[in-house]
Amino acid sequence: MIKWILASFHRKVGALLLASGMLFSLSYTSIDYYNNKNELREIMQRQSQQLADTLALLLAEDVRYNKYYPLWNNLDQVYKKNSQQQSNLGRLFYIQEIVIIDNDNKILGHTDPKNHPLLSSYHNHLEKYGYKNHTLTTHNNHIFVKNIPVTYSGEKIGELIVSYDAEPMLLRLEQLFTESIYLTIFIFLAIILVTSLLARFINTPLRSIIQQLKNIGSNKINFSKLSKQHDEFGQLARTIQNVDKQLFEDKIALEKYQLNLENLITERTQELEQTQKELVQSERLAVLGQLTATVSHELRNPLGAIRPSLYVLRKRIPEADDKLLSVMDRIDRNVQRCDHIVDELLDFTRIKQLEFSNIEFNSWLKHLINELELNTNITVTVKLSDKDIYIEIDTNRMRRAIINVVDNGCHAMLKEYEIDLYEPNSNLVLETKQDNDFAYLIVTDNGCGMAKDVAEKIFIPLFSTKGFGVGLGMPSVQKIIQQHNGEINISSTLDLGTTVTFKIPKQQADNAND
Amino acid sequence: MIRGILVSLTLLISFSTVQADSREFVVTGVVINSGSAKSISDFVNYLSQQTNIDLKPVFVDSYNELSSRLRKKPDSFGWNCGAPYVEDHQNDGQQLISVPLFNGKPTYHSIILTSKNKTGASLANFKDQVFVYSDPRSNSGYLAPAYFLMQQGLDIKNHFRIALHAGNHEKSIAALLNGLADIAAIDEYVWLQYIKKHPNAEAALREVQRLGPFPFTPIVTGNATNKQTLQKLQDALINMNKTVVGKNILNTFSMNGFVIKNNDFYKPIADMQRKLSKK
Repeated sequence: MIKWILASFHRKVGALLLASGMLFSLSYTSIDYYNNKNELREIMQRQSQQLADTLALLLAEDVRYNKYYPLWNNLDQVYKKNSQQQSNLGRLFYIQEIVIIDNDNKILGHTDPKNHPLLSSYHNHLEKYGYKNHTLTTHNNHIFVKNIPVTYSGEKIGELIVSYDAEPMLLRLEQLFTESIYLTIFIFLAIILVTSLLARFINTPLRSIIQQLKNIGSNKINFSKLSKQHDEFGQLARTIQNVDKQLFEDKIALEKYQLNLENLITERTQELEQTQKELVQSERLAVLGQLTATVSHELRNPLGAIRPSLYVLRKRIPEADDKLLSVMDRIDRNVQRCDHIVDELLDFTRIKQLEFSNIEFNSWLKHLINELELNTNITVTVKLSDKDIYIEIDTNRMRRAIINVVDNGCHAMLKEYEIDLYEPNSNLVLETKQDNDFAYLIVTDNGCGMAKDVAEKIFIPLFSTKGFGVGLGMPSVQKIIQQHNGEINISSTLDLGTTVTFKIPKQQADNAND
Repeated sequence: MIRGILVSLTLLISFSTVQADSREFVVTGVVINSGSAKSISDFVNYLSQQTNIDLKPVFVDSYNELSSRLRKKPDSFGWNCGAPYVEDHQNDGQQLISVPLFNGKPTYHSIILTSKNKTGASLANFKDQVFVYSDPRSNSGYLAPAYFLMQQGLDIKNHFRIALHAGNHEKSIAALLNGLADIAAIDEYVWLQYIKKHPNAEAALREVQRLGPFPFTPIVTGNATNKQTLQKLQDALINMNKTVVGKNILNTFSMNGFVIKNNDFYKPIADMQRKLSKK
């Protein structure tokens, strides 16, 4: 029980109030009852004494001169008047009998003369009734007697004996006791009511606060009624609401920060990976650059010597047979290939500032395709967008990128990489599209395609599946597209073909080429 | 306090506001019942109107007071008892005016009463008991029983343990009813009037004997009233039963009228007094 009470704040307050209330009500009603009891006793004693004293004084002359009839008449009137007042509220006693005796204990007057004849002995009376010296002690013994000497000229001539019945006072005391009980019960009930109300005043907001505190930080705490109160609970509710709101906002900010951090980490990771790749590529390119610079320089000189020499040979041997012409053509083609390789190397390693110009991409592309003079065994289809595409590009660089992709497509369609011998039904499709910000060029061939592992390495410098070349073609294309702030995407299926897509912004930002 | 109550009761009964110029018509409760104050007042007013004498009723507690008033104001009138009249006539020259008729006669009895539960056929049987009487000068209350006892060879002063002086006949009856007294001598007229209002009294008390008849209680005046005035009063009283108002008043008194008698009419009482005084 005590544990149960101690487990709750409002139960502790309630128990304390109940205990103090009980103590108070019992103390108050007890003190009130005993005060009233004593006061009633005092009043009764005083009134009965006064009545007896007055009567003794009044009857003294009648006693002195043995005026029995006036004596009796006075006693009778007092007795009857007292009897008639028995029903009066507030009456504390009534007279049971009045006796006047002389010094010889003979009855001079009695309120019941039939049973107490004049001049009969009062001793007989006492033996019969024994009222004298009774005291007011219990409910069953509520007769008390006042013995007053009757004096005349200072001489005692008799005695007045008034027997009072204090039953009205005892009934009044019983009534007071009952009222005290009712008052105690009433006070106790009132305290229970006040306590329950107080407990409710405490418990209800506390429960509400405890219940809603589970949602702290969710911005869902709402003390609609409680927050309007001006007491401590109202202040607490408003504070909790503010804290809840603040916690929620902090939580959201934290989540945002966390998300941003994750994104930042992802971004930084990607940047690091890219940087790492670029670093690797840069290292390779650095090596490649040095090699290219050396090789290009060393190759340009012999190639430069072979070409004029071939020209001289053609001039000196104008009538060369077919075999010799074929040899000279082969020399010329291979010199061109070597020259091309050198160009590729130089293109890839050269850091050159782009020179952008605004062009209409469809017409530019169409012109470029016409210039290429592709093999007639390849069916070239150009699908241009309905509307013109105005774009800002470095036309030379973009031209090299497109030619590179077209060359790769054409090579993919060669029959076992034979020179000028293509698979039947070789198709090359060039398609342009645009949206608000970007232009798209999609080059599709139905050549041999690439395996997945090959396609993944297509942009790695010096990686090549061809029997010729140095593996810088697609890295160069990627580099050019990236220099245009664009993207290049390759999807390829082995034996079915490859699709290369350029996504190029129509307008270049100021920091392009960085 | 009790004395105050008694004074108040007395003031209630004696409601008279006697003016200096009025003649008093003195009445004592020994003769008439205390509840007859209104009738007495009407009776005195009637006489005043009939005689053109300004009369005011005055109520007193005893025959001594009545005698004293008529002695001091000898032109006053009163309703006296036979025994004190005889004494006052002899001592003060009090004059007899008229005698009321009760049950058609100018006489009445002294009724000896006791409680129902007490035995005894005459006063003589109540030796050493408590006797109550209205007034020591009352004919029916004291003189008649004293004379009766004397005839029995008994002295009223010794025969009873206590002789209580109640003040009037009604109080004597009350003393009997309350058990204070054992025996009483009551005016027959008062007793019959009393039991009309208190029928329980008749059931509680028993008539032991009746003494008499005796000359009834006379209307008297002091020695200063002249014959003309006395005659006016007599005429008014004798003719009272001949007027409507007078008859109504007589009816309230349960009396039949008044007759003129001379002093010899009260000789029986005078004889009783003389014989008792010689004893």
